[in-house]
Amino acid sequence: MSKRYDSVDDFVELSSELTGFSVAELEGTGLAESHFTEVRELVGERIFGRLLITWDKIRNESKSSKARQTGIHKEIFGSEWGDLLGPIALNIVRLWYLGNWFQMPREWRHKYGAAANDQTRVVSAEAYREGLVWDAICAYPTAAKQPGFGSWAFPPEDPYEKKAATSRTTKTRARKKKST
Amino acid sequence: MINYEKGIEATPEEVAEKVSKDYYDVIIVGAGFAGSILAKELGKGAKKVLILEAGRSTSIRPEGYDSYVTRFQEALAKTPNSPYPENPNAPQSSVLFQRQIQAGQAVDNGYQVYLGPQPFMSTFTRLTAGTSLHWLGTSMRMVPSDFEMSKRFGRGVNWPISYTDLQPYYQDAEYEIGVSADVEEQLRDIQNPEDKGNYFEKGYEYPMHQIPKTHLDKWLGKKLEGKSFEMEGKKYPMQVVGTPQSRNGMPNPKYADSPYNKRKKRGHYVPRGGVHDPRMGQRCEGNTACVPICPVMAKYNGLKSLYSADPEKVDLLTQAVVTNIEIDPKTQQVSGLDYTVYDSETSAAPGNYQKFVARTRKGGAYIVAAHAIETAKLLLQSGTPATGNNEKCGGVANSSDMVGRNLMDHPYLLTWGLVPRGTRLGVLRGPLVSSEVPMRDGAFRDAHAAFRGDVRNGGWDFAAGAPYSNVLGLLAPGDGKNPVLGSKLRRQLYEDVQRQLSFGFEIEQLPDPANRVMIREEYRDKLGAYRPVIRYDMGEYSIRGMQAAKRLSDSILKEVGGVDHTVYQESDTGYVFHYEDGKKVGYTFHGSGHIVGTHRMGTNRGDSVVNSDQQTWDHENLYLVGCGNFPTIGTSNPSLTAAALAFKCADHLIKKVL
Repeated sequence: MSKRYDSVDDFVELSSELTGFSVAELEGTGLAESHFTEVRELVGERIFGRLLITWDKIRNESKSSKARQTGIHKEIFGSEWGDLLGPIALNIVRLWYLGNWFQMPREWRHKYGAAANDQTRVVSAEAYREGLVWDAICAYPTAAKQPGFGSWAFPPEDPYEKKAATSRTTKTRARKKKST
Repeated sequence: MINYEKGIEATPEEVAEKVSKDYYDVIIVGAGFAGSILAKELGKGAKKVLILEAGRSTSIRPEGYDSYVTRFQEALAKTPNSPYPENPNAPQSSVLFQRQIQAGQAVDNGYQVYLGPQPFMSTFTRLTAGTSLHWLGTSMRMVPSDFEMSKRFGRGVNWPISYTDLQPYYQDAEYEIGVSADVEEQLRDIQNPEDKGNYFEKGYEYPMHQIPKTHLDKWLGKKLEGKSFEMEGKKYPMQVVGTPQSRNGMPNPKYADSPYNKRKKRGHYVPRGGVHDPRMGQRCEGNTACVPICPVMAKYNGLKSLYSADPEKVDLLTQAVVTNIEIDPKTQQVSGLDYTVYDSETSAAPGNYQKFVARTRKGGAYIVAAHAIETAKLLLQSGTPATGNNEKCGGVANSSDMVGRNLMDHPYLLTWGLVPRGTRLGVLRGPLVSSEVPMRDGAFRDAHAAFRGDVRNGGWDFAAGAPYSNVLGLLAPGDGKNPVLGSKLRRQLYEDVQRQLSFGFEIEQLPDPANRVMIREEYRDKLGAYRPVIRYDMGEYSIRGMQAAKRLSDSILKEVGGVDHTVYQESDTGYVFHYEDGKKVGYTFHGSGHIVGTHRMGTNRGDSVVNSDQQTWDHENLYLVGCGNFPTIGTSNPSLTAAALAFKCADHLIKKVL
């Protein structure tokens, strides 16, 4: 495998940690490579490389997801590199979630240089349709991926509550048992 | 002609040739909501019809329509006109150019010029099928008291026709544009028992069953069961009523046996899907994009009427901008329509523009159906334009000086709150609005505006830009540090958005001659045609309606255990205020896109532009059709009533004139 493809993998792994979506979910959008290219071109290869090296360090030093999250907050947002890398990391999340690129902050553009196409915009119709926000809230992007007639009449999915719901039921059962 | 085999449209040369042979019985300006229906009906009545449409015909080809969907998806600001490209030869309005108006400073950077005191907040589309491309699809009838505002409440004016006069045409319109609704639910908010008894013909059913209510509608309906709301000393039930919608649902088998359908000798109702692929859009599929474009055409648009018009009888000429209505000075009849055809949108070369005159045969009729603002503008700029010294008497059909006046909209008041933690409302799925809390009728209308509260299916989408604003907010919390990331972000978004409850209140507005569309010498578009110049304000009657609507929203939130998060700020575009118990209280309104009243119908040529046949008082062969004819606005979204008026006009022309 060439180095470039390794880097896409690194980018997707970092994206997974930042967005809360698994690598498989992110790959499933079909946008891993184009988002990778988008970010790399907008912030420049060197700075982008610095972000991925930092991620590599976090990944190597953390054993759990919790440790990786702590690492991200510390190394990407909190370190001496924070004002360079933090805004990029946030923009990566915005890109995955909304399909939009947001112009880098004014200070960042002055300090590190601004690309001509560093403009707030929808990067593509696909990026809009595959925006993760819709999956996160168990809804559907406006004007795409329509769920079908009458589907809205049912309660929304509840992917986050499954475990808690089970434990609540168990508790209720336990209470009922007690009272009888 | 809308016919693939013969060529989709007529060419300017074909039309000129037919005009020279006195071919056309009727010429219609505008291929929008009213124009499409008129053309189809007149064609059915064996009349030869020409439609002159200023906009492009992009949408009549499948790939053209799809390009609008993609354009919407790619648009950063997903506004009602975002799918529809700008066209300097037939410009249209955009919400992006609305600003607060500082005293004496016109806001003129968009197509429409706003003189204030308030900006006019609604927009329309200039394309084949017109604003029916971006309408919401809400199709309730007006209520009988809307036609007698002066008689019953001492407010506004009466219509020259009653609800009963329009009732048969409502049935025609509900068939043509395919309405899904429930007869019983539509009666719930009509207060007068006699009105209630006569609202529907006995045995009437809507063509399709009500669109299934959303999870949110059902949840709210249960919470509000048996609750009431007091206005002017009288209690009204707080109820969640299904909104009639022109989007395809399950056909109602009882429709076939309704007296109306039997008279028409039609069988079971079959939903009309997309015009390019009838298998598509047979049912609403839940794109949640009714405004600004239904990707599958499950929602009605004017293309459906144009495509089912008789191609032998109806000619459509697009990119044809009518600039002047010619009046014969002797007979005071229309003698022709001057129009300019543009080829390219960008070229300034002289050959790009060709000028023509369209004439009907002797005894034919001209109909302007170009939407309330463009119709008024065309009348004002025709003949001796109504600018400068001619402002009062200039233009065409304007002897009453009422053309352009009494402009109305439903000021749209948003309220928003959060319901208790752990509630899952299921927002952002299904049609944008499928139910409402109506306060449309009642004795309170002598004191303040009636209103309807849309139960918004998009959560805080309109109110606060959700769900985008939720993502941006969690990533950049107040302190600018510690963004919420990873699985926490994902889950928090779900929890937050699922609790978003929002209402959009359509508030009634009274006719005020000072609210008006004008033309001014200095404001012209690329073709040299005038741009609409709008003076608009909000009266106390409507602001008091906003006060009642906000109070209703507060009561509902209280019933469901929610917390209000509504904020209206003085810096908001559309901020209005009044005094409540000596205290200044403000509200922020938006536009509903319900542009009404600029050439109203009446019984008296001194204070109206058209009579009850929608014929201008001044020119026997000139008719105006559309929302501009409404003397008052009521609380119904106006498209269904405009469609009913189009049927009424076609009926009149076929039976009595042509």
